[in-house]
Amino acid sequence: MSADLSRVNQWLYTRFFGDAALSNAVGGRVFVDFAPQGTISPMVIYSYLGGSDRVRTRTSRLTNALYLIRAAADGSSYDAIEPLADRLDDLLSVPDNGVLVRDIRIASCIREQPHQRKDEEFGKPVVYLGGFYRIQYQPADL
Amino acid sequence: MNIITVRVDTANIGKLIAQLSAKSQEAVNETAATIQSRASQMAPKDTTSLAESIYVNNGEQSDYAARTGRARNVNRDVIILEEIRPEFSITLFGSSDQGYSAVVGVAAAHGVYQEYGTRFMGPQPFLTPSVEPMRDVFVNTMSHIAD
Repeated sequence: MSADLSRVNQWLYTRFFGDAALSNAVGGRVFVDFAPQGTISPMVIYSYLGGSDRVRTRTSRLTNALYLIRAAADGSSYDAIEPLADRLDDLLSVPDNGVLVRDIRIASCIREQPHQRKDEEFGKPVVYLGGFYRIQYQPADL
Repeated sequence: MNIITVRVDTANIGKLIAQLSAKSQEAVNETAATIQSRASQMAPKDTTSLAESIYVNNGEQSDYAARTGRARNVNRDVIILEEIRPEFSITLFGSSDQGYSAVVGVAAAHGVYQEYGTRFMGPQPFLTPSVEPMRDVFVNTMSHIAD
């Protein structure tokens, strides 16, 4: 199993897209890495940034994956995406016994750092709000 | 009744403390150099100005001037950010006594867009994947610093 990150991506997508409140608020616009050009805002984007394995054997390992998970919208005010970022954080809680996603078990998802960024695209302001989340998972049969 | 005599020889404590200090500094510098090297290798390359602009400042030495010079040589349009020095960083231990620390910085302004992406451009992270594996390595090195 070396495509385990795709399981994590799947879990995140299911959590966000499957949540009626969030999905309705962003019109179903939930994307891994980036949105197609011209996609209207607001939207949710999440990306894997890096990680490492602990207990490095083939059958036993705990993986630490760091994700940047955020809401984005046109404009210079964070007000519109504040409830979206709050909802993202609510949806990223993991029960004590973890979450099974195909052949991996997500053991925890903890925000390590908040994220807030104001940017410009062709002279127009864009805002981002969310966080850096550390997701720990391991093979499900452990 | 048996008598046990314990004798503590403190003659080498000063030497040991000095050695710990030097080894700690060496571990910080080596970790920073490894992160810099990995990040430079992983940085997306067009003009290579991003890879060239990754510098290390350990408070005593910095290759910021050399690296940014090389970045400008390969891309005269690159926007260079100000140098970040270790004393600018905030740690859990406060800012006055940080022990040994080093900053691995990215001087090219477009680095943040490569690292995190934008909503319409996927990220090509180079710094985070370089730092992440070094966390455990650094902790392990420091755990055996007195060996």
